[in-house]
Amino acid sequence: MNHKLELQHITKTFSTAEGEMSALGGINLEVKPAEFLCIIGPSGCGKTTLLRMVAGLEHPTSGKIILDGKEVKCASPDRGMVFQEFSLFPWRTILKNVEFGLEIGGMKDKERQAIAEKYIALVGLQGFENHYPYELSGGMKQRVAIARALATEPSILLMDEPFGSVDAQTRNILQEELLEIWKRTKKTVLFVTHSVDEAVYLADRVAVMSARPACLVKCLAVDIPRPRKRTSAEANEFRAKLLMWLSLERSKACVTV
Amino acid sequence: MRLVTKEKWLWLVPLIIVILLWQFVAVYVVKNPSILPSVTAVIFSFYELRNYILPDILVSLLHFAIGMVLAFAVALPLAIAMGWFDTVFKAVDPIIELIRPIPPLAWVPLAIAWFHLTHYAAGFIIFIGAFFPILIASYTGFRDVPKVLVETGKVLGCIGNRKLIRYVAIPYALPSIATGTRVGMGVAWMCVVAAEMFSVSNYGLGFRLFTRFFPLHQMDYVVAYMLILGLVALCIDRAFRHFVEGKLFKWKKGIVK
Repeated sequence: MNHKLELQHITKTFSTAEGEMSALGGINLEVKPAEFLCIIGPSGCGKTTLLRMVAGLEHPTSGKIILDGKEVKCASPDRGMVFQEFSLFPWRTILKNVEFGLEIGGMKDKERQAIAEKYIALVGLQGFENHYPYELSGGMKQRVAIARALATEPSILLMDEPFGSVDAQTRNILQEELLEIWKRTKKTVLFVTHSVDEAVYLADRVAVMSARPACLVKCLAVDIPRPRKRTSAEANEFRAKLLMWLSLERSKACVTV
Repeated sequence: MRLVTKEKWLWLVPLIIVILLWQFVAVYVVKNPSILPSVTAVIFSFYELRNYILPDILVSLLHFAIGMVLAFAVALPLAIAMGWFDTVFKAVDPIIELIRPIPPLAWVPLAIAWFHLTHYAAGFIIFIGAFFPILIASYTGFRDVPKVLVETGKVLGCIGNRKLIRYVAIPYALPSIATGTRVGMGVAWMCVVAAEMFSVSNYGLGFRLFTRFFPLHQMDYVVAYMLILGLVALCIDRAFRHFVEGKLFKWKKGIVK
């Protein structure tokens, strides 16, 4: 078995005022080591819920999540997570934010500082170690969040629309940087997005989710050589393909709603 | 530069005007020291009372300290429990809301019945006064911890409530706790005067003012002690702001104004 991460028939039902509501209707997915996988789907389809389950912040109603051969039961630093909202601890400096997971893990002062500095350099924020989050721009905050998620050396990086709240130009830069980090650290990345452009630019493979109750309708390999050009003919062609699948799903959603 | 130095001393102008006006009204208009003592008479009182002032301040500070320490020691753990665990909040909040509107002064008979005429009786009244502002501001701080910070804590290895409270909730709530403490200190100082009115000890600013000066209609002494009460409270507040705002909250400017 050489899967990094395996989702086995994951379902999730929420109890609402109108009774049981099925959010995820049996998701199967395998992610290879060092793969960059984007999950895309119509809004409200449960892609964030799925990612949160892998992180251990929510539990599937049925099915299993297996990471490195072990079933995921609860949150743990072996899965790094970057949230869409700004999630830095405002009372900690950048250095102390990146050190956080190591500090909780009981690592000694000097050791964890050295590691934190390494990751701060990796995201290009040397010189900002002693700044507080309120002094940073949105894009810089998300860079710190990435450094912090990587510092505990997680076996997989989970990203929930991490660039959703930064402006479009910063987003492009952050995407380029993320690919560079991914290439250097050889991490497996599970990346949730609602942006077709982002998925085409970043992913090795794109998993398209359907409307509620969601399941995976299609897994498309993005076989465009890297470094990719956002405006190349292949990228456009792929984008068209993705958009077609998504609009198909969206029309279904309209019928059921 | 000249403008800055000018503004720095601006406060002196109205102060001097008020003092002069006071002196004028007292000497030439009212002409009755048991209605309005003159500034010079009050200044002379400081000299006449020099042997009482320091012991009275110290005893009042003792009452203040007993009440504040007790209030903090009880309010903070309760605030953590109420702010973090919703069941505790729902169970305890009605009791709190029932007891809170009772004015601290109404507790005097019970305080004397329980602690007799001791420093602890005064401390208890001050405790009642300081307890609720500290409790309410603090549990609000704990209830307001953003979900994303709690989840970030979980993902980075804070397993269980103890670690989450220690590393995420307490640092987040600290400014609220400080604000509550500051408001509580103000109420506590009011209660010092009220509690000492009932002769719980033979020293204390409030004791001297109400049971020694007032029956003799020594208004110059009364006003001198009023000024001391104001100045001591000002010093306490300034010291608190200096240590708390300067040292603890570099990350959040201007929260404890």
